[in-house]
Amino acid sequence: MIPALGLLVGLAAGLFLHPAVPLALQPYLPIAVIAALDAVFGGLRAVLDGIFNDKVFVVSFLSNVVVAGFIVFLGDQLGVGSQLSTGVVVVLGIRIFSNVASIRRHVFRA
Amino acid sequence: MSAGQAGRPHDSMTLITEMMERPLDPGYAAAAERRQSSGLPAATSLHTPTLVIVAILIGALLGASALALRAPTTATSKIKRDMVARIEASRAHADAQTRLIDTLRTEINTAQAAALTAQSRTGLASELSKLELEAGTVPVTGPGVVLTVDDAPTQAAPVAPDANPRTVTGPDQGKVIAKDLQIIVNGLWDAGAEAISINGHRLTSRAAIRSAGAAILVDYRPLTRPYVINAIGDPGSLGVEFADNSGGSYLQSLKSNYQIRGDIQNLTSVVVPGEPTLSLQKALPVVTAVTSPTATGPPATPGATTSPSSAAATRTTETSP
Repeated sequence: MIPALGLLVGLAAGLFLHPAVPLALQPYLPIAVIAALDAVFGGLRAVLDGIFNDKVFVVSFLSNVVVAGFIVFLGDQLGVGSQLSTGVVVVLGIRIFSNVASIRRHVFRA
Repeated sequence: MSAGQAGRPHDSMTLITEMMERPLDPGYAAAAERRQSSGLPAATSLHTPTLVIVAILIGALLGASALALRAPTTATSKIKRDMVARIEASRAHADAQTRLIDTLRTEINTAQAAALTAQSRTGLASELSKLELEAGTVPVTGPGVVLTVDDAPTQAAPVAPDANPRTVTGPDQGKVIAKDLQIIVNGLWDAGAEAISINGHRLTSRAAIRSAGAAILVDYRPLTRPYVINAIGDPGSLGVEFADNSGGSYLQSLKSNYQIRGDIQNLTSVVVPGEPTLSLQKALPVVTAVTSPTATGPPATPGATTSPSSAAATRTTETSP
């Protein structure tokens, strides 16, 4: 419950404080969002499975964001940024959907 | 899944099956196993400070990116909206000022007429109204023709909106350009028109039809198609003479060669608005006191007449420089 509250607090802070995102980091934001969502749904599923571990969650979130950002950066340098972004989105998207399906099974038993 | 059967026919799909079957980070299971083997519960508490901090961080990331990623579209369109608003404000201001000039001018005219009749110089009054009529400062109504000119029906391949105008080759042949309007209007003057307006802009001796890029300006105000030319003149001869002279034949060739639409109709009552923004350019003091009420000679030009009286003499529309 407290992490959910923290999520809401952070969301409100991001929306109302208007933090200035440096222009150089803006291309990585969409990928970072997808990676963060993947970590959040993975953590949620782990909670429902009864095997949640905060350290794993934090490390998975950070590594997801960093690696996704790095792949996009590398793609930009090589001139295939959009293709690599698509690849990251596909992989993380599939994971998000599978995790959500598992969460759904836990919550609704369906 | 059946992929686990002997022979594994879907060996090439291992990556996808791996991803579909076990999307959860294996780290969770490993950590839980480690904790259980050391006698702790499999799951950690949900209330650890790191978790709360990371949750706040994730929320901030989502919120910030929601704002930052929406910004680029608004940033470009904001400037455009700003410009459009400023243009509209300026135009509304100009319109209001024009209306103000209109009302003031009618006041001046009535005052002038009153002053002139008070001095019983009816000759000057009629001279003044005649000159005003020719200079184009007052609206006039009378029989005439209405000529509607419009671009050709759009062709099959319109230019993409994001195309660079410099790389788009070949001007659109079916578009009415300023030169066309100049020739047509000069043809109308030639045919005996007494007053002409285009889309409500009076063509005085000082109004030019010019082009600015793709836009057509009359008296520095942009026109939008269709171009409606109101011309007052003898209804019997105006249309006929226009059809005969160079302007009419030019319009005819535009119609037949470029599919430009031109439609002329005779009307018994055509309204040509006045041009209210003409200002006094040249005024000479009356050297000798005018004694005769019928003084109409050139030196006794009343100081209040606007624009030189050559307006009637050189009835041609300026060409663009």
